[in-house]
Amino acid sequence: MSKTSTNQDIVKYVYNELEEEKQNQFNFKYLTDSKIRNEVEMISNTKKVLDNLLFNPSDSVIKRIKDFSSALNFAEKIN
Amino acid sequence: MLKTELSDSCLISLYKKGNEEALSTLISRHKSRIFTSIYLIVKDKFVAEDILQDVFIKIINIIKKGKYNEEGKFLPWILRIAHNQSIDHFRKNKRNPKITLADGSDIFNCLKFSESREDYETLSKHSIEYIKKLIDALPEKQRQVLVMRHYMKMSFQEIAETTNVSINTALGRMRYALLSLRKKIKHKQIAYE
Repeated sequence: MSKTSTNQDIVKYVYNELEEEKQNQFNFKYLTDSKIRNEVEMISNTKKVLDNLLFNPSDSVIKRIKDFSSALNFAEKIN
Repeated sequence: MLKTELSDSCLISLYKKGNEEALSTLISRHKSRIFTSIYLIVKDKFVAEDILQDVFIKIINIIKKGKYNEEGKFLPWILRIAHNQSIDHFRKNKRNPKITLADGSDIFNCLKFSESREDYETLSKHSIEYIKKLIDALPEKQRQVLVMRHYMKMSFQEIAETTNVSINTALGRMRYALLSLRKKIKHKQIAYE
């Protein structure tokens, strides 16, 4: 496994996209190579931060969307 | 609002029949993820809200006209529409990017990072704003992959196809983005301590 390939596998591993046939080989590398373990840890921690990074739109924009829909519904009913 | 765990497909069927509560539930269920995806691309909250509104108006029209046919895949569908509109906006404004300034407070005074790993789950408001700034500062292509994979839940293969690059390039960009964020977060933590 080349270094580049391993680096890409780390990203796939953290995002649960690592191919099944590569899983065992990667698990072995993870257990035996501290550099890989460190990078998995770093990327996983960043992923956790991103998991908690969610923004909400204002209530007014949600109200505008709902108002548009209600108006459309009303127009459908009277037509 | 409908409190039950109805699937998106069920809610859309109800909405087609005129049930406004079904739309409210769909909006409530997905608004944060859709809005965050847009906001991280266009960087401006008000622009992101305008795009969010346009996206919902577009999908309402599509559903009402009976043209929605992606059963069970509502969120990926709406996220793609949101992404396309965000990218269109971003490209239009690329030559004259609008820089949104914060309230003037020193970010270093606002940093409040958690000491334990568990505390990542409770990021303070200032930390959230700070991390958003770090994401905003990423190279465009890295930021795009990060948003597409992390918030839009597209696979790396799908991202590669959508952005016309190899999967290895998409993976490489994601890796650089994540490591770059990690380094900056860690650096500021040390600086603050």
